[in-house]
Amino acid sequence: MARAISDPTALPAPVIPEDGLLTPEDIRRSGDRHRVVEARRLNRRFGLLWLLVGPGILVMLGENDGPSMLSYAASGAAYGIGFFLPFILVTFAAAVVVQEMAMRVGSITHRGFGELIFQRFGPFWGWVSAGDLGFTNLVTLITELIAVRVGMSFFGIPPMVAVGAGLGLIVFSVAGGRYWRWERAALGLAAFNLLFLAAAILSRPDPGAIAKAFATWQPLPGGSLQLFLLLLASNIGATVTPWMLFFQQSASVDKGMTPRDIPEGRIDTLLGGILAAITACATLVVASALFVNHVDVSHFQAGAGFAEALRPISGYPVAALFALGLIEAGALATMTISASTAYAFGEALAGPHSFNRRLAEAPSFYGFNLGAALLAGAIVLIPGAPLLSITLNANLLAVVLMPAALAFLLLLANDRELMGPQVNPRLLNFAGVAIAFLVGLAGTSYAVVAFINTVTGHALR
Amino acid sequence: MNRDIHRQHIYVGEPDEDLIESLEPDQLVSVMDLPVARRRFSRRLSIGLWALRLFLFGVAGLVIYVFAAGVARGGG
Repeated sequence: MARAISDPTALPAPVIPEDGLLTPEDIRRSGDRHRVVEARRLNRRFGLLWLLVGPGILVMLGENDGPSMLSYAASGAAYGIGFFLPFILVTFAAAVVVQEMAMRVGSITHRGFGELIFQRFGPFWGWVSAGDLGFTNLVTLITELIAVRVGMSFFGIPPMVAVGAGLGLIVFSVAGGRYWRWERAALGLAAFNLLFLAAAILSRPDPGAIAKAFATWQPLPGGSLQLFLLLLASNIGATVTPWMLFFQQSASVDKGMTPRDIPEGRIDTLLGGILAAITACATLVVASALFVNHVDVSHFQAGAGFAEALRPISGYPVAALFALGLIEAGALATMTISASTAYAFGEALAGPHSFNRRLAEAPSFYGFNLGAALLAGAIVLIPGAPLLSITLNANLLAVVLMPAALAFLLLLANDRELMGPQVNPRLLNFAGVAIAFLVGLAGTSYAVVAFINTVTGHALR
Repeated sequence: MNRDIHRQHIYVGEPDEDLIESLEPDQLVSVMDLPVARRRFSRRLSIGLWALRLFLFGVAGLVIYVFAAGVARGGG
């Protein structure tokens, strides 16, 4: 059924299905929507915004995850305050551009990203996209639990307990049977991403160096080309990844967002981008103390070493905040990435795919949600598993596979049959294509240089 | 399959019309379950998507090779 939304600002018409049958998902979503309609009717702008924010903030702070924070920290420790600080802002600007498209497509079509690829482009491309997502999400979930594990190890908590706590959080968060509860629990956890900002303030950075970096992008990185490309691609993969598209579009649908909510959805996405960029920059600033003190970080990029190395240089409070931030980053991303996997495979299998259903009403959805996290947890606990290599390569895989997801997003956002007058304007298409090209270029450059270095055993400079 | 699963858990009784009226017509599960029409690809778009896919598989292969080589060298 091809549909066009001819008047996205039209008031919703009264709805009772012809057969009189409503699912519990309809009833629960209608409760949330009722509050939105009331807030809009009473012109409560702040209340309306409070009700409608969520997917954008979650997707942005969720992507400030374990490997992302370690990428920012590695950039700060390897090059200090310089090129990568403004570069992070550019990558978040790119993330806001593409995530706005996902939010808009979801709000207008009421269908998730994976669902639309299946229905609009056929099962082949649908399964290929779901396969990409499933693979990269599993690798990333492993790194999230690694982050929880290494963060807790700073406080002497054993790995088994740490991973168990991470998985327990997933079980707790999905127990409510309501999207609203899940979202608010995740938002509460996301607030702790600001721990990295607190750590940055306590580490007393040089404001002049920060201002100079933002104004001039100086100093530029030197040294190994492979390391520079690795960090460049990792920083891009820390902000623009396939799971974010799947998550925000599906979460917008699950939340019940409509075309009238798109302005608030844009504020939500922008606010999330700003908050996430601040904490990402703060992480780089914290770790730049290691660069100033000539600490070799090459052997502890799996995470624990950053907090330990910061302790004698910046003090215990900074190190502890960094470790706590890592725990939050891993835990929140475990929730959001598990959710994106569950949404994508629920949509692929055309089964129930909503947090507005209880466990008994959507066993496959919750099965994917918990199963993905459990599988990742099992791998993290395997003795001798290559955790460092997995952590370093998680963002890279996301970067490499992102252009394909972006191509589908651009096709959907320009599909006039689906989007009606809300298709992408030309400037946004130009930005979307440029982002896909640059993301692809960064991933390809690293892959080629790293491959040549690996095969020849010589480092390209 | 999906329709059957949804209907295993239908709501029984009179819905609160005030609440249900807060949903848009196409937000009900029964409507969202209906698939949108399949889009027909032009030949050029089809070739473009295949080329992009094959290219990305190749690049992903390089990343996985570098990862595997690193693990084999004991860089895990």
